[in-house]
Amino acid sequence: MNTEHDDRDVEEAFRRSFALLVDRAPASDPEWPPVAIAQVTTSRPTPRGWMVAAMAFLITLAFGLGGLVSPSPSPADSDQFQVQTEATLAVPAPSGAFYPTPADAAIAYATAQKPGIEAPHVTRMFVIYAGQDIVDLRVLVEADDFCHVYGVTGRVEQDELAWRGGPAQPCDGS
Amino acid sequence: MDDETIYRKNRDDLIRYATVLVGPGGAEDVVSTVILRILARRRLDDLDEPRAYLFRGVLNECKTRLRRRRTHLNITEVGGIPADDPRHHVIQAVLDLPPQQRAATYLVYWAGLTVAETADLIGIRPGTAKRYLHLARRTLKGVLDEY
Repeated sequence: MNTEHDDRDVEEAFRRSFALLVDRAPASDPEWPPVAIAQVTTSRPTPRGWMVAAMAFLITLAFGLGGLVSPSPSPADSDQFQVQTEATLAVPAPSGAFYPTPADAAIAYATAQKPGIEAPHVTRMFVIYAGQDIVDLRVLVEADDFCHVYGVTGRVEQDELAWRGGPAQPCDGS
Repeated sequence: MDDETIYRKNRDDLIRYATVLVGPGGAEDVVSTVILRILARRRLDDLDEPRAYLFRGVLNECKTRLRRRRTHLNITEVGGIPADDPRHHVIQAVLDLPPQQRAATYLVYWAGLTVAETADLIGIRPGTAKRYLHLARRTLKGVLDEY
């Protein structure tokens, strides 16, 4: 048996396999440009607050759902946004727990909402609010016959951002 | 180069890389997690080799997730290949490779990088990259011979 020929076969098999996998990679959407959101705080931001705001900006950059992000609130709206954020936090997570990533939090919430859901996965995230030590996201969770947008809130717990899920609404808004 | 430019320049490559490692469902989440983790400490444009740093971060995050789930990535999560398709076994064998071997073969055989460039992106020595490629080729050859 010709070893060199065998190696070429193997390498070609790798290429064909990777072609199939790469073909299924989520595609960039040029219609959703990155959006920078204004940092809104009711008090002077701490370095940690700036860090959270910077992270929030990058989440938005990474998942830029430009058309879906709410207009950045003016400073006059800050208190209202804080109240909304705290209200989100008051909603109990499925296990009452915080999760290490926004995706974990949203998927835990989706799974609690619809037991037996198969292979739920996060397809998009976008930032609603970035305040002092708090980030408020909307996370799109999809599975077969399932598509909901969850409110997910991150807040600093022991110097790490911890995330918990909030109420959802179907993707079509109905 | 600012953060946004670095991110935009590398995003698609990172998403494809993560797709090969954890499947299409988790790829975007992996990339966002890595970006968040880096930016919690520093700016992308402060890094000497931001591209390599991002690729290493993606591989590490994927390894963590694969360890956590304790099962291999299954071809059904990728979709589109009937069970009686001869490619089924080959692709599943690729998905069964340890993530480091999958990363090395992807970067060399699909992305067209040299062994040295691949080693740099993974954060290993070139000799280790060669070993990963050898082990992966041997595994896949066994599957090709069988089917």
